[in-house]
Amino acid sequence: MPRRRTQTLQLLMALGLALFPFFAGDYWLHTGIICLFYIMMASSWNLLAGYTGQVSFAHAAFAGVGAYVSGLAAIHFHLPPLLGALLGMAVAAFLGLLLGVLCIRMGGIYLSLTTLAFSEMLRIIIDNEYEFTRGTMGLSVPFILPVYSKTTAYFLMGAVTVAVLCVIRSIVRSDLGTAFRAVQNDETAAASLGIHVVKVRLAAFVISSTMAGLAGALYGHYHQLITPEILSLNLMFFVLAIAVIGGMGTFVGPIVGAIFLEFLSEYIRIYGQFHVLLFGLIALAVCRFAPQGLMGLWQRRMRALSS
Amino acid sequence: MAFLEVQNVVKRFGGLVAVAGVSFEIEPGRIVGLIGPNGAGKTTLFNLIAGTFPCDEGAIRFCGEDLTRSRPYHVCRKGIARTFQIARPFHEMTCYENVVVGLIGRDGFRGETEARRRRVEELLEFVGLKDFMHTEARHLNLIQKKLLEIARALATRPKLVLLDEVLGGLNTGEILKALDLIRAIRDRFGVTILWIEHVMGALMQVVERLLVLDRGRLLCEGEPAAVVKDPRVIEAYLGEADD
Repeated sequence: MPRRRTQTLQLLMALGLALFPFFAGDYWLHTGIICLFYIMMASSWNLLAGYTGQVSFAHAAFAGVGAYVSGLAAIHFHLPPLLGALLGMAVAAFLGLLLGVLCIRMGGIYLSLTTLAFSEMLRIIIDNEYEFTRGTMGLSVPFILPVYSKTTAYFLMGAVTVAVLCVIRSIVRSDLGTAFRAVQNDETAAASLGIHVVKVRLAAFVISSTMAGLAGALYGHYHQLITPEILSLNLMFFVLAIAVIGGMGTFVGPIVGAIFLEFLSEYIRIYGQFHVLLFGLIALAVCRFAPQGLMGLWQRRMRALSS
Repeated sequence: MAFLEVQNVVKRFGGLVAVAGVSFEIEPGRIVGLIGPNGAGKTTLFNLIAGTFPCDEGAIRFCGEDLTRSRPYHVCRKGIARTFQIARPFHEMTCYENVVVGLIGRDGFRGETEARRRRVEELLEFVGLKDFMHTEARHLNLIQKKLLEIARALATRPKLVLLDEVLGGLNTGEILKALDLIRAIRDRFGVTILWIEHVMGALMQVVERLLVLDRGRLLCEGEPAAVVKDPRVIEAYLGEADD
């Protein structure tokens, strides 16, 4: 695509996003904000799974860590939510480091299972430590901003999302990103060229957990209610579906996937239980006809057009 | 102080002794061939030197440093690079990026500079892959993949390169080109070469010394012409003569 057209397209998109709160109603604004949360979640998970090949199931758990740490700090120490989010991020990073060290030397399915176990353990603890976390009732926490306003919340979430995406993009384009992909392609070969594979994989794990922690904390304070639902496998699989359907290992894939799936799920919500079925069918269709996700489909189409 | 000193190394896989106490030294600036029948332990010996497997016994010293317990990335940073018997380029990355990984591994994450870009181009030109700079490695043919591995290995600024069967599957014309390239690796980059090869005729034209492995032991070593006439070597390859 010519550079000019790409730039115009980007400008139009930015303008659309900036004006979105002013013409969208309350309901769609809410959906937009949730969508931003999923963009952060899926993009940061993609950094780990799509670029270094480590399929972690603990991503939602780290979002939960961010949310609960920030929420509890706000309740017990009256920490402003934005500072709390930073604290949540730090704790998520630390736990990410611990879990990373524990399971980074395992590859493939073992890493997936260990992270799955970690995630479920954390959820069960939060469910049952009623005194502290209020269990499934959830924690009532203050709004992200001193004054309640969905529009401001949208812009705050939007700014953070853009920042997170910028960080991801610069990592992917940096030498660290090259090392990520080398490790994903062939660990043995990467090590033989002087790449410290364990450190590189650990870096990806910690960076992506940190981002999940931040996203989770903002999400919790936006809802003003933090429940173990954030750590649930439901949410984890939704994030996974976004990245896979959008296109793993691409920058735009998770963004497109998040917008597509989040808005779609709002439309098919009325079918109740059947909406899960529809989701499954979409995932199946994507896996069958576009194994590289929607982005892969798009790239193939562009290539066909240009040749 | 020896350049590379391998001292009585042993590697067992369960009951199988793949390398059963091998010792040798290599002087800098040489091209040394490593031959032996299939299963003699040549690639295992490479894996021990490169740190892919830990030695069960023995010691490996390189330029005065003990590398016996070193991990592969550390061995590489100390100046030993390698290629693989079955080429292992990063398939989803371009040739350019493949070489960059070698530079990153050796120098750390320093970011793209003009000097680095020139260096990558130079290396790709050296192995004859400049036209494929932005092609993903999975689109290369077998020979090109092997050439890419050599460029990538040289990017780590090695003092010693371990080449594992570069000539397998090449035709005569390609072999001649590859031989020139291998000589050039030594002459232009000043890199010592330890080279496993089955294509004997070609190997004999280039190497200055031969090591022969058989059933995990060093059978003999020395001048190539003398080594291939050694009755022990002939026996290892062809079996015992009937009297």
